[in-house]
Amino acid sequence: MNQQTQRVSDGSAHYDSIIIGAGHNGLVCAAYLAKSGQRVLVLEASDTPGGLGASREFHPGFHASVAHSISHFSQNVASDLNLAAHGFEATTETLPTIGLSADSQHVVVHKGSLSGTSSDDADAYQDYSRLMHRFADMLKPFWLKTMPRIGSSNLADLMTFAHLGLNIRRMGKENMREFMRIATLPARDLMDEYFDNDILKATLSWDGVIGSKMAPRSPNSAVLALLYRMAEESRGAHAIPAGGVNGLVESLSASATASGAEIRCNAGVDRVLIDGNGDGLLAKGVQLADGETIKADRIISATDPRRTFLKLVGVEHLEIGFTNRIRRLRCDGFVAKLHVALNGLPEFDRLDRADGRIIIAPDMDAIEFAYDHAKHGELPEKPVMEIVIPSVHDASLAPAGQHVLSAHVMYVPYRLKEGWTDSARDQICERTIDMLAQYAPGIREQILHQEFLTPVDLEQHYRVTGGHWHHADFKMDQMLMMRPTYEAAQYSTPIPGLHLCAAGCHPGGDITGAAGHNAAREILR
Amino acid sequence: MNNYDAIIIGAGHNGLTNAAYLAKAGLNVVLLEKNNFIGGASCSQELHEGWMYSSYSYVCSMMRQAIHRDLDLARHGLLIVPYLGTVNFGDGDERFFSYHDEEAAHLELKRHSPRDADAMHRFQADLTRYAQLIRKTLMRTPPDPTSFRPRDIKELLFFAQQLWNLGEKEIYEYVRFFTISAAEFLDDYFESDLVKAAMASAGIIGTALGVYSPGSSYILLHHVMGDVDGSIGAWGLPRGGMGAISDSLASALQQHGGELRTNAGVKQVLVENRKAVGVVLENGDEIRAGIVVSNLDAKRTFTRIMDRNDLPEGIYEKADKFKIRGSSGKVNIALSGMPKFTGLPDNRYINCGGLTFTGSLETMERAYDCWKHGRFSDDPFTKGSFRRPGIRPSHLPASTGCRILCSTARPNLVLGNGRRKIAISSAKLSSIKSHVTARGSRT
Repeated sequence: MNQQTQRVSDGSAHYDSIIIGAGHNGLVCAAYLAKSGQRVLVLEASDTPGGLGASREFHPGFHASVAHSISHFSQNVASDLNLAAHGFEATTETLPTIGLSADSQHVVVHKGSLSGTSSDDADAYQDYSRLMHRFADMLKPFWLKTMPRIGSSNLADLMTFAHLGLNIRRMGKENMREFMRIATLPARDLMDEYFDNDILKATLSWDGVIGSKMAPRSPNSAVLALLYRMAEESRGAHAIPAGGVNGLVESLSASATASGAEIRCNAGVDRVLIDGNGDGLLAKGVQLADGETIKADRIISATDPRRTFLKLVGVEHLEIGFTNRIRRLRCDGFVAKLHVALNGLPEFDRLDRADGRIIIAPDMDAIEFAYDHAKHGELPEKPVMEIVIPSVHDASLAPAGQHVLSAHVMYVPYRLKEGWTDSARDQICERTIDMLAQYAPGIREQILHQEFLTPVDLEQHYRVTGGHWHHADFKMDQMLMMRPTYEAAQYSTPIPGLHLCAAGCHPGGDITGAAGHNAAREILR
Repeated sequence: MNNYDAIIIGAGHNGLTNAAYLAKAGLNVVLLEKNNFIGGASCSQELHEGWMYSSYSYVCSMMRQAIHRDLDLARHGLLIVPYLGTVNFGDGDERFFSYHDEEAAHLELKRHSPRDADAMHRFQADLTRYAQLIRKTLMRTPPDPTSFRPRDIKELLFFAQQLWNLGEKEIYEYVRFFTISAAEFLDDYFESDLVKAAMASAGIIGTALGVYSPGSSYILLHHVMGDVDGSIGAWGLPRGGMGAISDSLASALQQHGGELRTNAGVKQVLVENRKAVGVVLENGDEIRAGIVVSNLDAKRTFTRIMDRNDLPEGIYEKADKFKIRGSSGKVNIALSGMPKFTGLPDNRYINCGGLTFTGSLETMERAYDCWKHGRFSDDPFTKGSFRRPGIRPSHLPASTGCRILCSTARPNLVLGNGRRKIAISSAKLSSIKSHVTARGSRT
């Protein structure tokens, strides 16, 4: 990786665009801009690109990335940037999603069908999928569109509204009514309406709540999150691309550099340089941690909005109302990450092979209980989690015969009431492994090393405010033309020359590339 | 005579209002009530000899002034006496008084937090703005957005225009306000836990949401949506208890020639040729009318008093899915005298308003957590009010007219289980008792 990242700026270099942060959205944006002929520099604070998708050696010989699978990476982006030529396989076999059961049968959701449930549930799943796919298809075009500003009389903006209205209308009266009814329903109500099996309900609601401060009983945005995640062809099924998520990051880096973008690592940005005169403000460059300044026509931030405006720009350059709207963004993370180095493949009770995406949440109440603790700033007694063993799919992640277990653990509060300490981290890590051991009894003896990253750790290691996956909660008031706030929702900001291109913008988080793509389109407009 | 222009099922206050308006418009109406009393939740009942309770609903503010005027309810005996203030009992000796008098309210806020005292102006101004849009829609029929009927399209355009007129910034603030949690919204303004809890307590009662649930912020509109006699945001108790509202509506109905029958439960709505044509009562009587209006909830209407085969396809299933989740219980207590509360300078304020018992939003949320999981809360959110002598019904003795009622987060799964009922009563009482030096109270 590093040979392509070590081009040294001579101080006088001038770029068309500087992108702050080489997370996947920053790389997507860089690749599009470079492809269109811009001179682009990507500045990354850590020593490798990829952000939360970057692979790290957490124990000698064992590698993992915080994001451990992808589910709805935009196929448009993959083909535009010719990622296949750079090593990314879009058509990777999808993983079965397995809801683990302690005493009866595991529930497996794979390729549009169910096993391990009653035939009633299996039939209901067909109805459920048909309806959800219908709605997901209806919304799909909008994830790759720039959301218009309300009140705009621009024809293209009005067309976007008309398009959305038409798409909803085209579904027919019954579907339209049903969409309006369920769009803001808590995941729990939706699942209860369709299914009986508790594990199935917990497993399917998982994708509605993970990543945000939400649980199955929370109304408003869980169903939209589910639909967002079903937008691409895999219909929300997860996959591990060749080389893991890091493989995708590498293909993006390769595509960007092939088009002429420079990626500089170990180059953390301290400040965005703002020029002010009688005509207003203008972002004209950045200052690195070591004092070096680099000039560019525009600065594009792939870091989260709070960090961008409050740390890199500084409130002295912002209008107070705007500052307040950025300050009140809700971006406290509630997902922790567990990486375990194992001396063999863990054996889960009555599961042939742990090669799927495994959910440990016996029912929706278990998820809700874990959330109840976390929302009060406490550690959950019984954490719930999503597990992947990436080394099953990519042997290079661990020494021969050994394995990496990667788990998203919910709900672990960013703001722990007593404050985060090493012993608090150990405590929640122990509880998580206890849960694991209930389903994989021999796992404790297999553990060589474990690493538990709380949201605070994620914030520190990955420079993402609140340790939040999505840079800001996926909630109604932080979506669409309100993400991150209305003056910065079209990828530009109140400061001319400063743009946003990552998960803090429409359409939001997860590894999709959509925000990076949309931002590049707006910049090139 | 068993032939009318309109039959209204259920003499709750909406049924009464509907019947009164139809009667006033010249229709020959009959209002059918299953109980032997009218008013539904808006009733005054003598549950204990000599004590008249507002046995279910307990305070009035949201009743629309237009109805008051149109039906001339004052002439039919309705007089709402405003609260002068309310008191929130926090943990220990913490107390927060909210007064309708602005200066007193400001001074009291300052005692808790000077910052919050300043923020209150912003809070009130913002809420009042949000309420304006809703106020405009309250007396209109919501449109069916899937319909192409001119009336629906016109109404939809009306809503769109009202929203559009707000301007960009306001639209976003509205979306935010109506979708975030009460706790998140209050955090934007206040720092004192007690103040925040007191503010949230006005509306959270009766919802199946916690103060941390997305979308619960709208409950704060209870501070500004209603009014007493035009005084925005005021709360009050009707003279004679909540039943006085129903009595005045019934009087208006009868004045306009409408008929009111109690002990007349409807067994089934009669449908002929896909049109409702009347009802069959529980006693077997048949009443016919061109219009049948149900004041029962949608679920009861479609799943209990209608034959599934009479309904268009899908309606039964939808009504069955309709979510109705009770979250509050109520205790009515007859006291031999005014209890003395700790931490109050005197009983002036509680004589003139409501009481809430909650120390923080977190406490309220924890009570909701218990409800969610079907458990009783050890520390339920409790709200009450006294019937003060000044608004006692004139036929009761002056000395003993006081009462507490409490609503609290509690599981609805076990409603009706006598022993459990006592358990929740005592949980609620114990939470009050820590603030009360009770004098010979009896339940």
